[in-house]
Amino acid sequence: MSHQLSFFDSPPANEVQEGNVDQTTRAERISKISWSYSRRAVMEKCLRNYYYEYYGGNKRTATQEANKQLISQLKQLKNRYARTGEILHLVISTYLRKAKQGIIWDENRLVSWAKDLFSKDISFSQSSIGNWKPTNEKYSPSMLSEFYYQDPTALSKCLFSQDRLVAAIASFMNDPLYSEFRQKGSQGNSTIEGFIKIRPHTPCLVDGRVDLAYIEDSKVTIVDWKLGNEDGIGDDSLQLAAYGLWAVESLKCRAESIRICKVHFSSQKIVNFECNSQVLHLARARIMQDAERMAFLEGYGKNACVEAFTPCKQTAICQQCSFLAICDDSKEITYA
Amino acid sequence: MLETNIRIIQPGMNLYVWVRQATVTGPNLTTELIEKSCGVIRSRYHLAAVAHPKMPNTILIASYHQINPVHLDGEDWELDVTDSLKPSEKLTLLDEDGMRLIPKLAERALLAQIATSSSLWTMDSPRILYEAKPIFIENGIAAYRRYEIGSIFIKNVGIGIVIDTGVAFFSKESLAYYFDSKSDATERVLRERKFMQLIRRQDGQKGTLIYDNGRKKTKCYFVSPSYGMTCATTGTLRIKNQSYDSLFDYYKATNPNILIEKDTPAIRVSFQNMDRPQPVAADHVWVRVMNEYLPNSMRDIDKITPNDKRNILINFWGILGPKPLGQMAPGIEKQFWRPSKDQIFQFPIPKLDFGADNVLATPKEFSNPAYSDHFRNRSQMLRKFGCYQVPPNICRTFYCAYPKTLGEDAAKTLAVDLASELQKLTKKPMVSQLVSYDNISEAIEQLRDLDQNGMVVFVLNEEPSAYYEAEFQLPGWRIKRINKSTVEEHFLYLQSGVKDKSNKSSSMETGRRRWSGFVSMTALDVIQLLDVTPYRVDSLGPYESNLIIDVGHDRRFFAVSLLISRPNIKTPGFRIISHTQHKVDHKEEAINPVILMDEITALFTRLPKKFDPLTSLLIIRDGKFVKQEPDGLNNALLKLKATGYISQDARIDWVEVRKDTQKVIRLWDVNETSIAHNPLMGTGIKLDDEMVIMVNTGAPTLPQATADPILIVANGHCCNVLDAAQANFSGAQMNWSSPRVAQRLHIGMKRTDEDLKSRSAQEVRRLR
Repeated sequence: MSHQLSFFDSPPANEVQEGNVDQTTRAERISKISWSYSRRAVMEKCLRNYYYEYYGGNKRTATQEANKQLISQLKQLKNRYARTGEILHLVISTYLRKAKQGIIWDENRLVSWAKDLFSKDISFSQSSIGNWKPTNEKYSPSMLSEFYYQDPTALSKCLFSQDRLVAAIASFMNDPLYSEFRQKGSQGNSTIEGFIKIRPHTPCLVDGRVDLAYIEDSKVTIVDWKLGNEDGIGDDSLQLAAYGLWAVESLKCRAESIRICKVHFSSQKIVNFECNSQVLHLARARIMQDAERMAFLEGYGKNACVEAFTPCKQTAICQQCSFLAICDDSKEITYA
Repeated sequence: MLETNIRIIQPGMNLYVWVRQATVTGPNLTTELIEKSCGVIRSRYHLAAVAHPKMPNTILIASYHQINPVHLDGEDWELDVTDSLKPSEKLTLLDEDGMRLIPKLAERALLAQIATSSSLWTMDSPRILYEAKPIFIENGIAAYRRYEIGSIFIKNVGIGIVIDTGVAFFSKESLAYYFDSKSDATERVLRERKFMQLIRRQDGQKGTLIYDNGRKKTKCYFVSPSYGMTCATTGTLRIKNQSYDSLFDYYKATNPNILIEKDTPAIRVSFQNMDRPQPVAADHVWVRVMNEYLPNSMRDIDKITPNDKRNILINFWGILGPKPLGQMAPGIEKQFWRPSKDQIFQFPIPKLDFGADNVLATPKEFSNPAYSDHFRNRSQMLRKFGCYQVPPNICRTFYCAYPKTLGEDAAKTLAVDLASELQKLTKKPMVSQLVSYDNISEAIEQLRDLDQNGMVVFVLNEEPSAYYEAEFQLPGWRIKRINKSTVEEHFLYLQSGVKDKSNKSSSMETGRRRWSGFVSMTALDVIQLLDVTPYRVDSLGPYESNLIIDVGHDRRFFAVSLLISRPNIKTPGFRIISHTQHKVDHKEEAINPVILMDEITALFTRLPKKFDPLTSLLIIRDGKFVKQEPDGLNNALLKLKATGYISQDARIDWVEVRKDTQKVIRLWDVNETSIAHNPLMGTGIKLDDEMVIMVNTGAPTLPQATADPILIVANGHCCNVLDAAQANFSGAQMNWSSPRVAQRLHIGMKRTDEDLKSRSAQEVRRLR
């Protein structure tokens, strides 16, 4: 016997009528997504981390999240890699901005500032174990996750990172390899730590930050600072391609006239990215594909459905994760 | 007489194996590391070992005698294996552990023996072995015979060793030839082009390579050629916490026997589980040419008839000798295993309903001629009576978008011929409209101007993201994609004919046939996109419906499809729907249970509002149910029952269908003169109460190759595995894309498979 399904008590959600096409187009679905390379990197790395970072720890969304306070707190932890990277960017951008004003900070000043910042983080972290509460103060030291999670080797690991940071700053200041960047970055038309917010013929927003960009003889150069070694991605870097999209969109230049490079301070190498219209086309498509994935997860995230975000359960990733305290799967792996 | 490619280990069910328990210790032990320890014990000490099924960090080694302590280490791991000093344990086929573990131990013992006594080599999987020399070389491609080894427990019979054979292709020349910086500019371009063709770089493929470091062969992926870079000029390398001035120094320090010079060219490749590319000696790297990328002239080379396969395997067993498992077993049966009559089944082809209430009856007898007639009739009845069901509101105009570089002639001929073919199939007037374009965006814009949504046959140009762009920018459109090169190839056949094998004359008739075959296939794809049902079966064995769940090969998408086939007194009598969704946790094999539940329930909401609840459902997991998937499925079923899509007392069974089974089992019929042929489609063997193997293809529509069976595993969720097999066979009868030829997969599985391939083809992989 036939009967109408609509008479049932609880019709399934997201009902799509037979023969009707879902009226929300793929373009509409991603139009509210703000894509950034870091967001896609977190999504690729661990979905549970992605939930905590973009939903669970976000005050404006996932309001039903029972552990919101703890997640928000953990979100403010930084591991040694992230923090030293942040300091490197701060120091270089300050150097370039001051140089633009005609004030040249020397290597000693930059190095001691960087060391001071990180040393304060370490001292603060050591003294805050077990009683840390994040503050909203602008220049307060960071709580390092290595100390928060009481890694017995936290200090030596952090000191090693500090040495790497110092070496990178010294290298930036002294290595002739980077003289062009020091010089051109100090000129009036350069962009230092410039925010990107564009829709490069994509329905979604593309968000990010360019470390350094300058124009010379109608050729645009974009530089991305990396504290570590080469990652081997080179010509396949979506991050650099996104910078290319920004340059085409904002600086109205041709793809072929853009030079994009990654500076790897640890290996003292500059890796160039071959920018052309074809690769930018691919980058656009890749960004939209990422945005579609993000849009797919959006409903689950907003509804605080944490179970829909599969934890990665990979020791190497879990050990570095700020959300270890709340992720049972991560704990299971890390302390196994 | 039905025969398999399985040989039973003597003495059948009386086989037993002595094992020693050993403890594995080391930092951060994982399941992979435990497996790795078993692999190293096999390759270094020629002993079969498996992970203990119940005790963590423990392995079982096939030996009666105490094992000496073993220390193993790799790049970022180390472990120790120590004998537990407990008495040796006897595993038999009478207990669960024995049934589960002895097949693995036997397989590994065989692999250990082969490693010591033959020149066969392996690449990544120890189960896949290649002959040392190619069987032939053509077009710069070398074909190697390969053997794949598996094992299986057969109830009341014993442990069977399964060996299959095939062909694998590699480039004849190493990468040093393709990227030789000494060759002149023209030659360099030619060689590079050939290389790119072999690895299909233009299709966004990474390019699979094989690297031979002198000790073992490993799979790796092409990164960049680095012209001019030699083993001495790679710069410093840091490997295993050691620094080397160059690749040359690294080789000399770690692998002094490898034949390289300072000026040997180097290239950059990436390896699995290594985060950055590495330089390697280019003359130690070759291209792994995938079978689907072979040039047309070599397309059939990997097809081996059952008789040839059988003979090759007989020879192979001969080489392995009388005791191929060494001390583990007294020997192996000299004949391939032939199942008893009560294990063999043969499903008849069900009757098929075509347009205007015409029925194609079940063949009257199980014979090749009767089955040949049946398949010929499928195609003829489809043309004569039209499709079983054509939506009344089917769109009558389809667009044919083509790049201007294709030329109007080819596009026009395709559109006109296609319209005529569609008319024959649907019995409705069909017209085509051409849309020429320079780039995809322009085509999309034109199509949007012409219609809100519709049907487009999209001849895609070489723009790398063309397919994705078209799908993304044309929501609501039904898109049949064809590559420009495919149209060009077939149009050339039509215009110039097909050259015979000696390349001396062309046959216009063959050319015309190929073109019309191409148009017919395209038309059959188009009608499926238009929700036309070409023909149907009455029922799916004892089930009204089948739900299929599948994950794409790169785990970036998963798909679900639902096939309903029941008498028309119920609504709907027949329906097939499918849906593909992102699988964002692509590192995981399992589908997230919450998402699986949501997608299954969402699929059902696409059914008509007027709907009779399903009274029986077979759920087919293409592959294996993994981790929490059954939870997601159970929750979905609860919801579907609550919402009335499935009746409360419905019969619900679950099975796993392994279409790419690791057990590589083959079936063939051997006649009185010992010649092997494919069995008739629908033939199978019930291996036990939980497992059947069956062929959906076979005689008479598979003349050249050996039928590739599917394995159906019930795992306690299906009350009769033969019912599930019958549903699979019935589902496979809807071979809508090629009515003359039997289809290997159930139509629901084919649908999910194609959907997943289509989504995968749209993915941009290069950038990350």
